[in-house]
Amino acid sequence: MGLGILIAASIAACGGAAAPSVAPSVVVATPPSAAPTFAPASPASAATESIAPTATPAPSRSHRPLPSIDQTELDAYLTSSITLLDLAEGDLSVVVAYLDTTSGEAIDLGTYDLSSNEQRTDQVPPGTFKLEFRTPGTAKPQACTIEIGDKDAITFVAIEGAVAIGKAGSKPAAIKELFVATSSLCGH
Amino acid sequence: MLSTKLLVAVAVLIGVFAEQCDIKDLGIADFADKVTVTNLNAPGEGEGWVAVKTNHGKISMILPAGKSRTVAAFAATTYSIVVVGHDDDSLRRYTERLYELRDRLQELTITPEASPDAILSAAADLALLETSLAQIGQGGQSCGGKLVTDVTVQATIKSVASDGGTSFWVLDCG
Repeated sequence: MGLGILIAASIAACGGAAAPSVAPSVVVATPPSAAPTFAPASPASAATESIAPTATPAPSRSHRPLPSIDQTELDAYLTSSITLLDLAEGDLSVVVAYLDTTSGEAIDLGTYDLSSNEQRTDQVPPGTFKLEFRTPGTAKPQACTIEIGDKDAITFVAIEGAVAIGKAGSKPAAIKELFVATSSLCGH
Repeated sequence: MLSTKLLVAVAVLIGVFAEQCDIKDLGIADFADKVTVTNLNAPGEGEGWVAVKTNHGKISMILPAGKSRTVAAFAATTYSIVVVGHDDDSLRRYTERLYELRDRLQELTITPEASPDAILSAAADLALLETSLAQIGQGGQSCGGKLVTDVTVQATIKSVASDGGTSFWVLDCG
């Protein structure tokens, strides 16, 4: 089952197909007259950077129907969080995949690019994730496959040559538990 | 059969984790609510520390003069932006704390045996990062509002010099 199928299914849900009974429901903000089309995406990046225009830009709007989510249901679903912080000298790329534990398939979700000293926190639903950390000058990326439980708050901090990992409430007894390469939090 | 839970998890995560993904001909950006922050300063005039928060996440970053950054969030309905200068006390404390954490972690990577206290202390600091970030810029410029589906918020920052010679940031959420 590929991510394309999942997205296509989510689009179908946006178009008014059966709404999830447990998870947040997805509905169309502006009903389309035909199946929505989606433009090719540019390379993955959580935050893009560009040269600023000389004047204050006006809000931009496209004309494609987009999904809206029941916020109450969504809030109840996004109960965990992942924090990423780049304390290395160079930029950090984090490739993220969601692991479908029933099929064993890894679903690529995209790449986060963080500049030095950049920090971000995102609420996520519980599940199994694979994160791959790439820093300039590091030949081999460091990976962590982690099962994130309900209300877990996981922190990853990149430093030179290593990635530290922390979990709110945990009390590690050994140094190895502090780093992705050796932590028992990561199934690798 | 497609798991509804998995479907929504992925749909949400796509937005949470990545503004855009190269998945066949589908653009994830089409599902995302976006906030673009632009530093209107001329190159060399000064960079600003900016934090953007939405319902489901937040990001802090340094925005160089003449640059803009776009933050995407899936299915967010509200946003807030904070900008502070490098002379802001809370930012200075936060940055110092980060550097201390970095140095301690770096030392732990080369220390075969560390005391249990040192390990627990580092772990506690890792867990407090998000809280530390939330304390920045409470006296700084901030603005926010509602996110409208399919509309990218365009915010700007610019540092302005006062008559007294000091400068402050002006933030405009449009």
